[in-house]
Amino acid sequence: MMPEKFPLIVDIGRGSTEDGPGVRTTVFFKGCPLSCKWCQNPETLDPQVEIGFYPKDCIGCFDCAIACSEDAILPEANVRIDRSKCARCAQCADICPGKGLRRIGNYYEVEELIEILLRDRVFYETSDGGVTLSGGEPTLWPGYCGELLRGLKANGIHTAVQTCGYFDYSAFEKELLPWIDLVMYDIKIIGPEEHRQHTGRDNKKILENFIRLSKENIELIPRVPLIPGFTTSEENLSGISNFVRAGGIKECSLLHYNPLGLSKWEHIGKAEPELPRCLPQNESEQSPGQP
Amino acid sequence: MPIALDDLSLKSVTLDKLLRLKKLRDVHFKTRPAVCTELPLLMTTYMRRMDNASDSQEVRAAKRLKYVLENKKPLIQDDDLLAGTTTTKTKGMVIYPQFMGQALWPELETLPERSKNPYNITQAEIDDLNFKVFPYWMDGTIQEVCRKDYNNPTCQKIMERLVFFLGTKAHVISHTVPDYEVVIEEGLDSIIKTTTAKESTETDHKKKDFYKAVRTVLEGVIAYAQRLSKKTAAMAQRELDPVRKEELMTISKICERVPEKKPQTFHEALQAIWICHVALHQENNNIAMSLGRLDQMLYRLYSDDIKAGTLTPEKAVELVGCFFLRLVDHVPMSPETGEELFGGSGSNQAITIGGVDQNGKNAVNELTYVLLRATELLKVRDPNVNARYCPDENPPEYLVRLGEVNITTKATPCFHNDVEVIKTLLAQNYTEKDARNYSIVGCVEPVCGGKTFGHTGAIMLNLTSALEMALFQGRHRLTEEEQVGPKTAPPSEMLNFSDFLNAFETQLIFLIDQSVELNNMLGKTHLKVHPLPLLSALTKGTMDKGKDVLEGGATYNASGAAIIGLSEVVDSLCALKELVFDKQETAFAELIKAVENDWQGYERLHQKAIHSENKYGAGSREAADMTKYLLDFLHTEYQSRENYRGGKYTVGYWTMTTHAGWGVLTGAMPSGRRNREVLPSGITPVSRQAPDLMESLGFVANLDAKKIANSHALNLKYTPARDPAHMIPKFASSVEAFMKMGGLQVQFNLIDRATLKDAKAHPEKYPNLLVRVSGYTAYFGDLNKYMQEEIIIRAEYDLDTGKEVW
Amino acid sequence: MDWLLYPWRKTRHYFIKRSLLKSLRDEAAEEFLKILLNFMTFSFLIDRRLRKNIEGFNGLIQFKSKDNEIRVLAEFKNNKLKQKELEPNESLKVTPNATVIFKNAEALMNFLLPRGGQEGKKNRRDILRSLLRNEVILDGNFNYIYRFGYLANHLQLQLAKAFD
Repeated sequence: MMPEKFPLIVDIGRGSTEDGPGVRTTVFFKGCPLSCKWCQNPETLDPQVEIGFYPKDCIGCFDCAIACSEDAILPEANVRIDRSKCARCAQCADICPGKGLRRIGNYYEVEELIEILLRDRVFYETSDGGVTLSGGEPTLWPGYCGELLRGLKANGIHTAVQTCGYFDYSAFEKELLPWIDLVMYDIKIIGPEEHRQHTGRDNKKILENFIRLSKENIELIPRVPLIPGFTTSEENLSGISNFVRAGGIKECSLLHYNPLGLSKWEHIGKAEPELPRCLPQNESEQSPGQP
Repeated sequence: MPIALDDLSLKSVTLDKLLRLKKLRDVHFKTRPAVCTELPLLMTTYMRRMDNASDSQEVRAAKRLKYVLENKKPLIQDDDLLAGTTTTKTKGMVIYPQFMGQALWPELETLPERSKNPYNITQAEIDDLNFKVFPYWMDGTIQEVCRKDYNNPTCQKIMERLVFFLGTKAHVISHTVPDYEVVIEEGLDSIIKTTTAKESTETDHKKKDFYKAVRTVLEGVIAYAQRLSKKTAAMAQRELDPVRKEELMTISKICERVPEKKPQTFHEALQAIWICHVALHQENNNIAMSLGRLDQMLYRLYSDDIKAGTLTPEKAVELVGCFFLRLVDHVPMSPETGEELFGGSGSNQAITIGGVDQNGKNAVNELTYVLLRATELLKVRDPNVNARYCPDENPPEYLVRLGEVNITTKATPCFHNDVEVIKTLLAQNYTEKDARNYSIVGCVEPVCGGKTFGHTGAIMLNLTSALEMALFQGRHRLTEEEQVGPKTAPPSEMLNFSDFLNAFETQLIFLIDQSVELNNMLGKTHLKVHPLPLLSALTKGTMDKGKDVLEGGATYNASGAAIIGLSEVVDSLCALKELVFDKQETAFAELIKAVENDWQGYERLHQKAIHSENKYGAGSREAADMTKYLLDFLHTEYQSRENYRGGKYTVGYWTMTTHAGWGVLTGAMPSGRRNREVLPSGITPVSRQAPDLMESLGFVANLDAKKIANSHALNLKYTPARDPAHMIPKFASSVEAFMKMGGLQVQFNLIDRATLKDAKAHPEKYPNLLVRVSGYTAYFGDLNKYMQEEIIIRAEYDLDTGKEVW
Repeated sequence: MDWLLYPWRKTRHYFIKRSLLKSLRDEAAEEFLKILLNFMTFSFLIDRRLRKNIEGFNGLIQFKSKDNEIRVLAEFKNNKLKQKELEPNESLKVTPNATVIFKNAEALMNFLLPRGGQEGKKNRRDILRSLLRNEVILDGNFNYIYRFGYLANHLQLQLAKAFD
């Protein structure tokens, strides 16, 4: 199993225009200090390798059972892995012909990753785009990300980081900050207790870091995910608005909730958190608003 | 180029203001096409009664064409500003008895009942064709004369099995851009003067005959124009509406002057081109006869008229609109299952706009935007609008405007990268000026308009059949036990991948040889049976050489091959290499059994083939190397062969609709492809195998354009955004990036899968839905079901996420 | 004296028509080719207007199955159609203008009667489609086949009208 000091990457999303200005390539890191109940990408929570099971792609050959040394393969239709036995070696995924079992999380050397990210350079240049580090939480690996961002800056690439704000500021300041053009900073819930309740962590550090960051000479965009039943109360939104304004920031992005994340839980053998029913879907688009 | 338009989109010019265009457009869409027998009857009558067999072939052809032009009905459509019609019908199917008109013979009586693309025909017309025309030409078509002269050659027999390659010459040779510049800058009388002078001093009797033939046909064209002039004058006399009376009198005066004399106004220039175009279609099949750089050729007169105050941009849109609606007055002949291979094709007459001038400077002008507005308003399948774009030279607002028109029309114009195309033409020994002055023929093929005779659609080669023959020792599953190609080694004897490549190359060279041999035979036969004095008169180089274009008279000579199934073959070769040789997942014989059984019972292997990482367009080094190998091989092999008039063969990757037709005839492949699935179009990745837009754009952009001298069609779909304004910059930047990375050509459908599926199920809800096939634009409802299915499953990317949408 | 034979031909024509329709219905068409040619032969004899279609038409078309079991020659000459059955290995004195090689009887039926027997429009076929599917191989002058295709189609249309 890959030790945690190496960051794993879940996906490299090329050509997105939703993760910052222009056309961007987004690197999704694995592992997050928060555990928001509404998380859209549950596969990015755990920093270790996970094995996803996608029953639709399974052809029932059970090559996986032969490959598994832990006897963790189950013959059921919708569950293939006994997670209590699974050692996450991913041998089963590597051998699976139909990609019904997939390894989630791959390690890249920094140079290797930069090479991949530079392939889309022309797209960045023609659209004023660049690279976005996202997750999970990229700031969990300040050393790695620092090296990565520095490499990108050396090639003149615009860089952005999406963060939940729960990080050690001194490491962030030292390793990352010099190479970042834009930070997209999630502020989810303003009340400390509710924050702890729904994300598993206190928000003190997050709010402090935000204030400190707002004084730095970089572009900072706070983002509020609109999760009905969690973040959309008037009290919360106006609280965030006041807080952000106090930091001298005038604009804030509102992120619409995408219920797509819900079905992802069962692929990685985790129970889906309970959420209020009747979440709205496909509301009309909103551009960045004024809180 | 000073551009004085306040609004490049010309939004204030609408069909509601241009009621004439609206009406003509309605007529066009409401009219069911009808078979026209005028041309074949005139030709047959001439041949039966007046032809003098002691004349040379060139002179016989010229006199015959002159007779046609002198006896063709001079017609003008109600309300039209341009006189002259290709046929006597509002929308006429032209029958060429010397080409392959007889293919329609069996279904003459059932044409109106066709389920797709029915045609009207009267009993009298059926009788004319059945009794008078077709019997006369039974032994006289190019196809049959070739068969007889070359003693039923193997290459022709293989072609006629239809699954290996198509040689189109017996049907159409006129994939070319005639020299309309000379019509605008000098007028036909200047060519007549030249040719008459040469005729009187020339001592070589063959050349003398050629000059005589040129003079003869040009006299015929002028005679036709004069008759149009008289006819419109007579109509003006009878006309009660004073406005229309005035218009008809103007048209009459114009036709009296042009194309004989040099046009003096924008209107005259369009009329002159149109008359020549009509005349050319009496000599040449109405497929892909293209028009060149209209915004360059016509700009001088446009801007003179604007300065003089006799023309406004709005009036120019109207005239151009009339011209476009003239270009759709004829449809090519296609037998019912010709639809399977070429279904729904219009006449595919390309026009070219934008790009750089002969000095490499921005050539986008006001007229470019006028042409774009007409395209946007009319949304007709012809002309096939090709936009040249030169990054860093053409202005960004031009690219934005092209994006806008694409979003409105959903399918046009397509994009050509000046930098790469010019580089490619220079490598084909064009002069720098001529290369910069390129224009597009038919689907996507670049030539120097008026100087190149480059039958760019001469050969269509099914690359998957070479792979098939390598897998089955020179046999094809469709033609079963027949030994078509050389007997290469059986799989059991192949020890490594290069053994297989040897077999593949042997089969491919065999097909290349056969296709070239047939094309050369047909070319020589064409010259013998049906020389082309008028096309020669309108091609530069012929006057100096004293030779027909079919003999090598043009300044530049080439023949074009188009390759079908590139990405499929790359994926299959890669999968075969990986599964059999590199990873040894299976024995070769097992893989063969698997594809013979359409993967039934080989599910595990099938999944491995599908999920191989070595896929075309998906960031795989292996696939990139394999593609490079194939491009190099095909380019080298074709370029080393000479055509019948001293030109070289160029290779392109566009497929029209053949990839759908051939897909149905092609079995499962090592790539994981199943029986009968449509093949990928043009140079496009196989659907679902290239999930990243940027990766697939980059993959194709990195191919060496110099090896793709007959160009390619990269067909992509973008999911339309709810807000077009939101989409335009993203669209434009994707095109710009593709070109800056070295991309050669790209074209789009801006329509989502759900809409297309709905259009397939409920055609009545989507009349005249314009789509891009692979090269040309067509109406979705006209396409056969395989082609519709291909467009539905064709890779669709979402510009917001950059991902393929499923 | 030809007219004397007319009533006999007319009757004969009627019976052949019936057997043709039957073989179309049964789709068991071993005899189909012979019956069709027979039908055409008699149709030309009794129908003057129809005969106009083959006035001055001289041509020899060979039909044969891929396994060479069935071989039939159709000869258009003197405004008449004659047919002749050939032995599998019999050699020909004159090269036919065109040869139609068919995979099986069904393929031939589809090829010759593009309206697909009594099913009418449901199974529309045409020459090119048969070639594409490799159900039929043509050798020789295509225009002779196209002409024959017209005649077959025309007769089928008349037949359909007669039984509507």
